[in-house]
Amino acid sequence: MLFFVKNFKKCAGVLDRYVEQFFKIFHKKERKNEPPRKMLNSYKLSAWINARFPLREIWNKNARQYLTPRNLNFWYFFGVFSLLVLVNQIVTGIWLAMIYTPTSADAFSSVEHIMRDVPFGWLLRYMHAVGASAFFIVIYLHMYRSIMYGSFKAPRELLWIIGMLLYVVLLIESASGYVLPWGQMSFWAIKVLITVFSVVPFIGKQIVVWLQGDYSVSGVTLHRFFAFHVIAIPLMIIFLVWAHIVALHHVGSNNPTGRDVEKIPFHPYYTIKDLSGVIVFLFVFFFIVFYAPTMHGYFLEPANFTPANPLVTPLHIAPPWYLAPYYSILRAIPNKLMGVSLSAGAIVLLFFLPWLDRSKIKSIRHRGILTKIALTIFVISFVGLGFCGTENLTDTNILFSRIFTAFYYLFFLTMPFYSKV
Amino acid sequence: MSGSVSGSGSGSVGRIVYFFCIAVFVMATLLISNAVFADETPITLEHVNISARDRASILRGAKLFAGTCMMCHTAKYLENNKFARESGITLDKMPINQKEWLMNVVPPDLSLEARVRGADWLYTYMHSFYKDPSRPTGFNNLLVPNTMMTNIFAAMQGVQEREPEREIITPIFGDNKPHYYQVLKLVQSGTQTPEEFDDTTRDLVNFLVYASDPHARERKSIGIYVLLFLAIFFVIVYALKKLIWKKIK
Repeated sequence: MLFFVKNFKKCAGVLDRYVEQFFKIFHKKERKNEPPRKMLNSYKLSAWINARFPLREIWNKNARQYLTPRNLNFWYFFGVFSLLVLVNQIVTGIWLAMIYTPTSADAFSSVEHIMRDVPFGWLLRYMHAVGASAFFIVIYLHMYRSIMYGSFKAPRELLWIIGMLLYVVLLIESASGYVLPWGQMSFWAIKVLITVFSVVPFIGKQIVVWLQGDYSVSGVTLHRFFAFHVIAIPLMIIFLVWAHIVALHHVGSNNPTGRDVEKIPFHPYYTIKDLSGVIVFLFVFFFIVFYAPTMHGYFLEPANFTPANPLVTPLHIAPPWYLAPYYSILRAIPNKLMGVSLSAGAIVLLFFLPWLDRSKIKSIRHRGILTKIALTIFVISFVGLGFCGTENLTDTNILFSRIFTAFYYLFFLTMPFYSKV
Repeated sequence: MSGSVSGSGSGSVGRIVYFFCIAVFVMATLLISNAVFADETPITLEHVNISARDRASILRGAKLFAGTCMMCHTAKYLENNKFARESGITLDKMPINQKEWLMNVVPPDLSLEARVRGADWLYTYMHSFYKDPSRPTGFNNLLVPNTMMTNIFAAMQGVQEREPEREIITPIFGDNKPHYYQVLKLVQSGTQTPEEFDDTTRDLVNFLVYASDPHARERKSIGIYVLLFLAIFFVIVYALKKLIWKKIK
């Protein structure tokens, strides 16, 4: 033993030679039977594919030779994050749909079955639920980035509008998903949400019945929303995401300065940068999934762990946090039709942003002090509205909701004036 | 317009300060709203110190649950839980098919009660029963006025009475709501001392919290490995990113 340790190098050398010779025999044998190879198999395969499908062309156009500004900062991660969350929602959603039962009798207990009895079912469910909230956090920051750096301006107006459509469709997707656990809050929040449509003149009642599939919210409604949630709306989302990326790659990314800057290929520079960002995002995401999956009632409400009961109205009905800003506009306005119009208008106005902003300068960095103040007030009023929407209705709450609603609207309506200054 | 363009150095500091202020504002909003969430009880909730690692306590709680609570309450979703089954909590022993209840109030299923109410709420609820001859059960509760639950804890805890001169006034601001022991006094002692009763209820709450989320412990222990993997992966990818970006700097 000691001899072996002392003469390790020598021994290893001898062993090496034996091993080499041993494999040489095999190598020769293999060579003899096979015809000589001129091309590596992987090249052959790619040549075969590219003769039939423009795989390399797509890769080159969208990654290898796709030029991106070199100064994209932290705010530009949120696009790729939202794509990642979308994939997460689809993958976890498929597995959840395998076990979930969309009937009023079994929906709640099937969710509990996933949480308790299905191996790692709790992980899938928490990833899906936290993913829904993460989607909105990411999307709101993504939209804020666009507003801040003027990414909605020419030639990116259509990119912005496709993105806004995506946002609206995402709101519908999340609202329909919120119904599925069939807890108390699922039931009553969707009841309130559907009632909102009854104020539409002339056809309001019909819309409500059509949405419910019944004369009140029932198991039929649940089944219907399940179909919306897993088939209809995801298809729309995937199509719109495709259109969003096509539009982006046609006009290219804006950048924090809002001016023309030096450009670099997307791959490898931004693929590796995005990957490092994605890992940081996943770290935060999984920290929440494993250690605070309900986020103190923001991501999964305590009241929603009680099965839906049409006979017992909960004391406080609050929508999920991402709908709260619009809900608090709705509550702040005494007239129902006006309230609904104003909260819908809050989203509609965003569509017109490219034409409301009259400034030729894109980025907030080079804009006047008025625009900077206006954007700050807008952020405060949006967060404030969200806060008011999750709280109980009091006089103070209504007062603040009204103030925030006014500032929210003023941001858009006075934009053509202050943005020109 | 161009007058507001600041130098690149001070500009970036200003930007960081600006975003920091916004982030603080958002965080503060979240914290305030959290406080208001818990602000809906007439008395102060007692804090109960429970731990998912304390298996002995959960087991004691489960046995107590099987022996006493399950006379009226069900815990349907524990059907396939091995731990609960070993403690005697099985579907056939639960009063699922019982049709007649006092005043036709069906006792709630307790599988998820801890998620709905929170541990502190349950702990305080178990402590705040008091004698009230006007109620059909003979007892009332501070946390849920006119509760239909019978005071099953009376034998252990003893009988509490409400001091008539103490009125509960819920303050508008601050957290000055009374504790249950400031309003109630023990008039007849039970089989357990107050300290023993605290431990008993703690076990029960510990079990109910476990029952509402049986995989909590597993979840937390897996989480460490996932986060550790991501942290190591990040170091590698970030080094690669630095290497690749060197070419253009």
